[in-house]
Amino acid sequence: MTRAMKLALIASVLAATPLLAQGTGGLVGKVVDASSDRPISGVEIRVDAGRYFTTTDTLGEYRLRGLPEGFHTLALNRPGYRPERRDRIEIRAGEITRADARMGQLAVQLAELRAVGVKDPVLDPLATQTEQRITADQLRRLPVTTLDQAIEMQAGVVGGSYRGGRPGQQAIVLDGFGVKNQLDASTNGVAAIQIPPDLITSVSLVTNGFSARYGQAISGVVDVTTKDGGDQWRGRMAYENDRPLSGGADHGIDRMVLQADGPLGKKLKVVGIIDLNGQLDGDPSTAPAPTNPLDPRSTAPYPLPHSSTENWSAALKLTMPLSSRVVGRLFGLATTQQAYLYDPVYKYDPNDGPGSRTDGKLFTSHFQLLPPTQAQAPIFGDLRFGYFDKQFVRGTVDAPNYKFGAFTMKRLEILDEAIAKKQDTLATRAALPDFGTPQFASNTPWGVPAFFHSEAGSGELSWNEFSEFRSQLDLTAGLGRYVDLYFGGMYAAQTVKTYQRVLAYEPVGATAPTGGLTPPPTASHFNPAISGAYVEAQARVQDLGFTAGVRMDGFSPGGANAVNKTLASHTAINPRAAVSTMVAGATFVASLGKFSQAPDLQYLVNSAFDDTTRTGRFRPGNPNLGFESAMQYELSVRVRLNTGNSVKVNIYDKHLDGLVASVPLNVNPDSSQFVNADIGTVIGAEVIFEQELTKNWGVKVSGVVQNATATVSNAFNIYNQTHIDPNTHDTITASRFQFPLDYDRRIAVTAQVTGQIDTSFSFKPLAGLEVSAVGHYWSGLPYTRTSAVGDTLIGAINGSRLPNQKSVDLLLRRPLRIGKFNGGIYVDARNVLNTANQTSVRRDTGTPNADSATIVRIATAAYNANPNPIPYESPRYRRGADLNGDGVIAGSAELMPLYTAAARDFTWPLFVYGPPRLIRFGFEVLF
Amino acid sequence: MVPAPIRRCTAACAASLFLACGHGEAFVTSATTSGPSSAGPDVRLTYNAEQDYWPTWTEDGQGILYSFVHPDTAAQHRCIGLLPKAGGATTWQLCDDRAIQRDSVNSFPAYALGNDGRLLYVEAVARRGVGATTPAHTTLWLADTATPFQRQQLLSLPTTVTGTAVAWLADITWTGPTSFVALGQDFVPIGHCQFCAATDSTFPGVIVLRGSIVAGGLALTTVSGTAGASSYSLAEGGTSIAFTMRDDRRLYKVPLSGGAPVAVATVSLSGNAQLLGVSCKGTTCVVASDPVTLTNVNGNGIIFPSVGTGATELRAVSLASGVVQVLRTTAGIVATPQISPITGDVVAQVGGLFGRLQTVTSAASDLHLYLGLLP
Repeated sequence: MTRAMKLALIASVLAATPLLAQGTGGLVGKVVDASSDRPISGVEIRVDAGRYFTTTDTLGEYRLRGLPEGFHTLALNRPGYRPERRDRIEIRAGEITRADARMGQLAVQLAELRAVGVKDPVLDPLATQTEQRITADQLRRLPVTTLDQAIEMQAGVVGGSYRGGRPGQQAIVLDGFGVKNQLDASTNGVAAIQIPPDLITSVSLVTNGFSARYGQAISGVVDVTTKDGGDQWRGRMAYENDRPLSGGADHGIDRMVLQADGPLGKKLKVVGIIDLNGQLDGDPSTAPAPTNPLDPRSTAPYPLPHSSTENWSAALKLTMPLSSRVVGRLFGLATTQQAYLYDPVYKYDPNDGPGSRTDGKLFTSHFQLLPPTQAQAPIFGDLRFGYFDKQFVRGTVDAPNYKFGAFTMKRLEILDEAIAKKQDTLATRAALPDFGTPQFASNTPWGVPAFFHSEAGSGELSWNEFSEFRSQLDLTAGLGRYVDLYFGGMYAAQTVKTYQRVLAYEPVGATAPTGGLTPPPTASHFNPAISGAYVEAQARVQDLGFTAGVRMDGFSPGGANAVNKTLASHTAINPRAAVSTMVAGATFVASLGKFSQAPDLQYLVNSAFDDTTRTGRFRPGNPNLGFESAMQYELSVRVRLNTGNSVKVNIYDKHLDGLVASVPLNVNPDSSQFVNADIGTVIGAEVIFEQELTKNWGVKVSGVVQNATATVSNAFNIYNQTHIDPNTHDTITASRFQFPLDYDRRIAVTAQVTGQIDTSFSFKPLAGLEVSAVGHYWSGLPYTRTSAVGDTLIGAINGSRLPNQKSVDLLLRRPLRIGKFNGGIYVDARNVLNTANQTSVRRDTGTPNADSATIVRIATAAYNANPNPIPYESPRYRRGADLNGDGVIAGSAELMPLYTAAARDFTWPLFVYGPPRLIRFGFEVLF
Repeated sequence: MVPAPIRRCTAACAASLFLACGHGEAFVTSATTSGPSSAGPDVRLTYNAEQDYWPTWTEDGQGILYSFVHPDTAAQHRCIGLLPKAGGATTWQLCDDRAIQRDSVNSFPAYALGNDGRLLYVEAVARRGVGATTPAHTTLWLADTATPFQRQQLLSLPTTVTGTAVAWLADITWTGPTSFVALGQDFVPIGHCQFCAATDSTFPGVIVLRGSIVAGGLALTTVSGTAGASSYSLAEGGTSIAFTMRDDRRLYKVPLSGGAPVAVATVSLSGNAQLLGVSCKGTTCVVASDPVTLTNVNGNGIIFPSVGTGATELRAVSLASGVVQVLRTTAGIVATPQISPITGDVVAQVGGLFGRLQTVTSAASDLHLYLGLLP
């Protein structure tokens, strides 16, 4: 065996789920006589040397439930027949694997007897879910470094939107335990806590009628399974960065991972991981360099101040059998994500800038009841308790003091975070003493007091905490050979605390520099709860499979309303069903399901904004918000064209209803209120072609054609259908016409090629090289054209579209032997072609850049606000602008060129463009 | 704030896997360092269309502190600026335009910057609006230049020092880590031209004060013999005080500890000219003499200056011999000369104002640096 093959084997072992993994699946099959094809009863079916055991019935069929996810051995014995054995049968969590067998009588000599045939998972009619799975091995082989990036590669996913819906409409499940950020999933990420990729065994994305077991979602479920400790100590240590590159290619990337798992004593298994990553240029862009030679980015367009990210994660998991049928697990995960946030307003401020920090903690306990080895109608399942806490804070921070790369080695200090945590809205109506009034920066290339601030933040202070204690019971009962019954429930007690203050350098009610009045601080502290109960049955008759279930979701907002009445609770009944069968060698699945999720809790509480254009400065929350819901119909076809490849086609029709939107009560935007008002429709088709690994090479191509419409795009948008008659002030509600949704990506194509150059390749440096390339093509997202000042629509809402986007990512890995250890070096390159993808445009011009008229308009406004001469001794004095050399820059002729240049600098389209080519080098040691 | 250029990742940096490039820093542009009028012995330091006045050297002689009316603030705050010793862009400014002060006009009439960043300054806060020109609060603060509003209050004015009423302070000078000298003044905001738009303030000199910062706050004493001083300077290595008086052409001297004043020299002036400031280094002083007439216009005892005819001169006066020597003759007003502690350069305010006698809102003045005026 070559080194590369050994390494591949080790990698596959690492990728495989160890015994006792918490994800379980089933194994079914039929055993027949090889010479007569008659069923054989009483065949002993032993999995993993008898750890799981059953016998075939009179029809020759058997079924084992609750097998841990991973690879297992299967042995068949029956007196008079030749014993048969298969070593690597893969069990996938939530799926049923079929392994049929033909056994030869001892007296009969059959030269080419296929003893055990594992049912093709592609064609298995019992697999009714539209599921896209990523295993740990694939995560390692693909150019991805985060869970989100891996999910983003799947069909139907666009920037957190699943099948055209809004971000946050999916649930995230970690080892069967819901960890959704219900506070602000739609705007701040769906996961309550960051999950280190090296901890993951597999990730499944389900986008159709997912099991009734899952709630809190209306567009999909992300199911993450983490590793258990193995029987032997092993692990991975890796470090990667882009430091060998120079200039614009060096984005200051560093990532360090140490993961290890193994036994502690005879029974206890442990997994631990530390994952640190940072990036100095945290939000790189392919924006072209400014043309003005005085602009500091004209010669070095890559470095952005106050734009770095730093993430720390640490996790520990203990697994121990508590009895012959009960396995206990304790899992703890702590993360900190902090970022210095680039804002063009503060690009010339060396001391202050905006920043944010998110701290997450998760503790879970899991008691897994394994199925009895021989019962024909077993009951088994999982009991889970857990607690997670997520704290988020954003505001003004001091300039970072980096110790190593992007690592500051200290928690980000947000100005007056302690005040925010006290949630005292009375005391903080006065100007917060630590906040300085924004000053126009004087150290810009243009000098003039305009656009750029210094020595003070924006006055924003935002803090919130979301915690949840959840208990969850999931049981499976086997009802004979053909029916499984799933049932269970969950209850989660939540705590929400929020505090927001904007323009904190001003007292409440003062005239804000940007116009309007400074809004009061907002705060909340309440205890909502969610609950759920479900029952689902899955039955199989020959090649016909049925799945039917119903889930009841409950949501109690907690607390009382303005008149001290307890807020009403909400319930929703969600039936789901699927039928599947094989016709002419293809598997057809038809499914429908109704789904509901409680609204983001952020919409229940009052909010303060510093935005006078669309949302107003103050938004009253609505504690009476109810469920958002969806109904989805889907028809799927799965077929194999040839051995080793498959085609899946999914056609879906999803109807969203009751999504949260802002409805104005009168013409004042500050009067708008969150209500369940939005509706949406998503119709689409996904085509996924996959050529499984053949001679070490495989291909996967997925394409999506989709049309997504809604009445608004997010909860902060004013509900477009309500109009106020300017004469009568009556509210006029038109028919609910739908516009293309912000995430209405009409066409998306992703192609993956993975493989390994043969180890016998003559050019040795390339022998055994693992190669993975991923190409993306996306049609442009819609946007709405407006006038230059943003108060008038030009054309239809979302009537324009961004240019198409494309990218190619590449991962090359060369396995190496490093002393006693296996390891490797790798190059991970994203956007290899350095394509300048436009991710947005200016709404007034439809182009990245502001037009000349806009530049002149805002420059003139800035000049008129500060027409004062600039004397020589002022730090604002720029010799080149003093045309007459009298020591004073005065008058329009001398000042306006500076204001115009400053306006062009300020409006330079930096984040209109997506990330550039990112290359990182890494080495790893496997032990 | 030290301007920091953007650093690119160099070859040496790229060669190391373990060194971070400094491309997370804010973009900073250096201010202009050479002025349009920097050639020649007389350098115009400021071009502000508003007032720049009351210059004083930092203790180490590396910078010039001065007051100026900030053109960008609608409130017409009077701020402190710090210029490099040879001129250029201000390297530091203090202007109290915090939100909580938005209803006020803030003025910094006196300041002293020690070698280690110790900043003594007086802040006068007046309500904005007609008829509210008298400061509501006038306070002497001790702070650090890096955090000027994290400060210790030393004194609230007006106050009485050994029986002498003092409403205003001017020309603070450090004499040690915890000790200083300042000119005590009265503050009279009544305008001589009550129907004019301009707001005037006059500052009748009262007496020179010595201060000592102690654990409990501040100990102030008067320097006997200096009553009525309109300007002063430490002299003879800090052992004596030279001072001028209104309507008096003599230069006086007393020991730092006080005593009977001695008229060192009489400056020959034409007409009703006044001495508008004195600055000494060793035994040599520089006085500004200006054609200013002091008049009791309203008959209420408040003396207002007005520009008369005659030459404006900077003269050297020897404390040892009493010899007076004309150093520079010019036109207009030249006031409050200050000799650099490390060179023979002299900074003075030119135009508009009347030194320590008066400020007028609309009267522009600038600072000039006279290079090598003294050997």
